[in-house]
Amino acid sequence: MENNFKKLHQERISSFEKNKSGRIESNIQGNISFFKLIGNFFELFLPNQVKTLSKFFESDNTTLRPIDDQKKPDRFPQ
Amino acid sequence: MSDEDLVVSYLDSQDDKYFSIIYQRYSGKVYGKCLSFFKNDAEALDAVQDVFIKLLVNIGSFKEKSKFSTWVYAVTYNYCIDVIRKNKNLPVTDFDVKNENLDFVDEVDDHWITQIDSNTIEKVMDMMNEGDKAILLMKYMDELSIKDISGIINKTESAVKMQLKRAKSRFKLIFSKLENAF
Repeated sequence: MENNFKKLHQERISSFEKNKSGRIESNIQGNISFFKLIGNFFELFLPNQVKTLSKFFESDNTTLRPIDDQKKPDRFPQ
Repeated sequence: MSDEDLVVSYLDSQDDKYFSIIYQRYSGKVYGKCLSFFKNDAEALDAVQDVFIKLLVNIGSFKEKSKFSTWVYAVTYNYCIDVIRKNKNLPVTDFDVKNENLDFVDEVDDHWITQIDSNTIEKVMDMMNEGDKAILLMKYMDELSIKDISGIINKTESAVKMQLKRAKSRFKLIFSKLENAF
């Protein structure tokens, strides 16, 4: 069964692929390269102390925190 | 290579060639949808570029809960609706239904709506609000299931059916007005 919504869509896709696709792709590639450049810049120049500190904040909270320990009723056994 | 495999390969290797294949597969489809929302070609092309950058930035959040194509369409529709509503200074509430009385419009047949010539479809769609436009495009252009549409617009399937019914009724109303004008 004919569907003219799909026909309209197909016409638009063909027009895009013939005339415009390449230009938009190169713009996107330009943006990707820019993002990668910014990423590399941060990776290279961010001080090591900041990287270490961020790893500390990313830790998985498996170690016992002092504040939790204090809540235990038996922390000062008689 | 399936879309989902391409995503995994891109995430593993960060090699642009995989994203380039995704672009080749979907850019025309994204453009076709953007052209339904924006008045001119230049705006639609800018939208394609923005949508692909959004896809690239968020590709790690694709969880294979839906098909990749459905995820691409969701990003595209949400992007277009957000931009249009921001430009109109409207609050960004997804796909709302206006409470107008459409009860007097007969049930619109799927066969009738898909048989209207493409130029008229374009004219009618240009006069519809972005929420109605999106749901009609999902149903008839993308031929998505009610379940997929409900996933994209984050509403229940019965809410989607109701919204689709209203969108079709508004489509028919605008179509009749256009016919009477000529």
